[in-house]
Amino acid sequence: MNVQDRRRLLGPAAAKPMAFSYTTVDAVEKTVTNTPPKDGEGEEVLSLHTGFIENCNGSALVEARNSRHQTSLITAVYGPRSIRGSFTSQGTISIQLKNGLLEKYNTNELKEVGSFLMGIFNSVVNLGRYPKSGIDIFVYLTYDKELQNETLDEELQSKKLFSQISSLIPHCITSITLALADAGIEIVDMAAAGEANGTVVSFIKNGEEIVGLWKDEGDHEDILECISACKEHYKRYRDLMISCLLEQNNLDAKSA
Amino acid sequence: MTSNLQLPKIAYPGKLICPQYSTENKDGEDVIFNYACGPGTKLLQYEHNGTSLEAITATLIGTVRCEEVNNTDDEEEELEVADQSTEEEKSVDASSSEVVKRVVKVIRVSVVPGTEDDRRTSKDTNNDFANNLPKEGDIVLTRVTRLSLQRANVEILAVEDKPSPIDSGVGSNGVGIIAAGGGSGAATFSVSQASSDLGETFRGIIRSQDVRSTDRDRVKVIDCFKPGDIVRAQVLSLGDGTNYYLTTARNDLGVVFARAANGAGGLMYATDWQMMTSPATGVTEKRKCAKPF
Repeated sequence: MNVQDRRRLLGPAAAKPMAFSYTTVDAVEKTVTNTPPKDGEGEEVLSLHTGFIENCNGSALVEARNSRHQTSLITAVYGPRSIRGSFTSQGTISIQLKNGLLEKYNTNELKEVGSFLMGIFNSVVNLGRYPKSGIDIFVYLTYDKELQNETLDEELQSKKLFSQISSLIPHCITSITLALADAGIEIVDMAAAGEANGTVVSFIKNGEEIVGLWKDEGDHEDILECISACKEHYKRYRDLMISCLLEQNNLDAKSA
Repeated sequence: MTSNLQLPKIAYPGKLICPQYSTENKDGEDVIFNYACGPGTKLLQYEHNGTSLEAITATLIGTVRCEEVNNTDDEEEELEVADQSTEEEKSVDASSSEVVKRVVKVIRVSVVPGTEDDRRTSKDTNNDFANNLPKEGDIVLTRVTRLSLQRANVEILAVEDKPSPIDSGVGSNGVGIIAAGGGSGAATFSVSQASSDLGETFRGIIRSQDVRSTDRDRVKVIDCFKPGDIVRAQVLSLGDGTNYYLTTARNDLGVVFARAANGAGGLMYATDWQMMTSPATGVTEKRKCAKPF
C-alpha cells in the first residue's frame, strides 16, 4: 500500500488498510490416492489441492498420472465482480483455457473446450444468487504429456495424441468445480466427468443427470456403454473431491 | 428443538439436507415443519425410483445451521392463504376423521462456511463478499467518486451482514464488541475485495432526491457529499446494468468519514446532521451526516 494513488482522494487520513488473518495452513500435500500406479492400463493417480493462489477468490490444482499420460492444470476463479453494460439478473460465467509450457493445443480447440465447459457450469453454478456479476474462470494447462512407452507402437501413439483434448476435459471439470467450491461460489452439485473412447460425459446428482456431452474421434459403437464407463469415473472423482474439500476446510468427514 | 429430523452437521455442494416438509404428531397436535432455503442452500428436484422429489440441497461447504423463522407480515399472509386451503381440505375429510389442530413451523436451513468453532471464536471481518452481494434494503458503505448536480456516484466498499439495531446499542444485543466510537460492533461487514483502480467494484448512484427525506427537491449535492467521503447508504434497487440505486434519506445514513478541504485537511466530525468540523483547524463544512450513535 506504499504506492499513493494520486488520481483520487483517499479515505480518512488515519485509515489503515484492512488486514485479514488467514489461517495459514501449511502447504500440506493433500494427495488423495486410491491405489499406487499399476502397470499397463493401470489406475490413474490423482492429486488435488485447493486455495493456494493468494490473489484470486478460489483456486485448484489437479494432477493426474497414469502409465501413459501425465497432466497438471491450475484453475483460478475471480469474482463475482461487477460487470458493465446492460442489467443481468443472473451471474455470467466466462471460462478461458490457456496453454502452459507446451504449446500443444491451438487456440480454436481451447476455445471450443472453453465454451463446452461454460455450458456445463452455467447449469451447475447457482447463478440466480449473483445478479449483475461476472465470474471469471481461468484454466492453465501447466503440463500435459504423453509418457514414453515402448510397448505402444508408433501408430497407436499418434492415435492417442489425436484424442488427447478429450482426455483432458474431465480434469478441467474436476479442477473448475474444486476452484468454485474453494471460492465459496454456490454450486448445486459437485460436477465431474469421465472419458471413454473420446467421449466425455459430465454428470451431477449422483449420475442421474447429464450436464455435458463431448464427442471426439474414437470408436463409440455403444453410447450407453460409454456413459456407464464415464459414470464410474464421475463417481470416483466426485468422492475424491468431496474428501479433499472436507479435509481442506477442517471439517470432519465422518459426520457428513 | 427446531426440527424432528436429524439434519447433517456438515454439508458440501450437492449434499441433500432435508425434504421441504416433514410432519410430526405431538400431544394430539399436528406439527408441520416447512423448511425454507437460506443462504448456501437451494431447493432442487430429484428423480428417485421414477418419482420426482424436492429436497433442500447444500451449495456451499460448511456447517448446517437451522433456525425457526418468526413470520414477518407478508410471509404470514402467504401462510394464511395456505391455511385456508388446508382448512378446506380438513372440512372435506372432517366427516370421516376428527379435526386435528395444525401448527406450521417455518425453519430456515442455511450452510455457513467454516466449522462451528471457527464461527464462535472468530472476530475477523467476514470477507465473503461473494455470497453477500448488495440486495434491496441492505446497508452498504460506499466511497463517493464523482458528483454532478443531479446525483452522486459512489462505489460500494462493503455490505453490512447483520443489520445493527437502530440505536446501535450494545445492550440490545448483549455480547457485541464495542466499536471505537462507543457504538456496538453489532454490524459485521462483508468487504469487497475488488480493486477500485481496475474498475471492478460495484457502483451506485445517490440521486439528489434520495439524499434526505425532507425538502428533497431543494438538495444541493455539493453541500451533501464531496469526492472521497465514506457514505453509509441503503440500497433502493439493483438499478441498471452499471449502478445500484442508493438512498441516504434516514437519520443513521449519510457521510460517516470525511476529510476537510477536499481531502487535503484532517478528518472531520459531525456536529449536526448537516455540518462537519475539523478539530484541528475549526473549519466547518457542509455534509449530509449520518447520526453517529
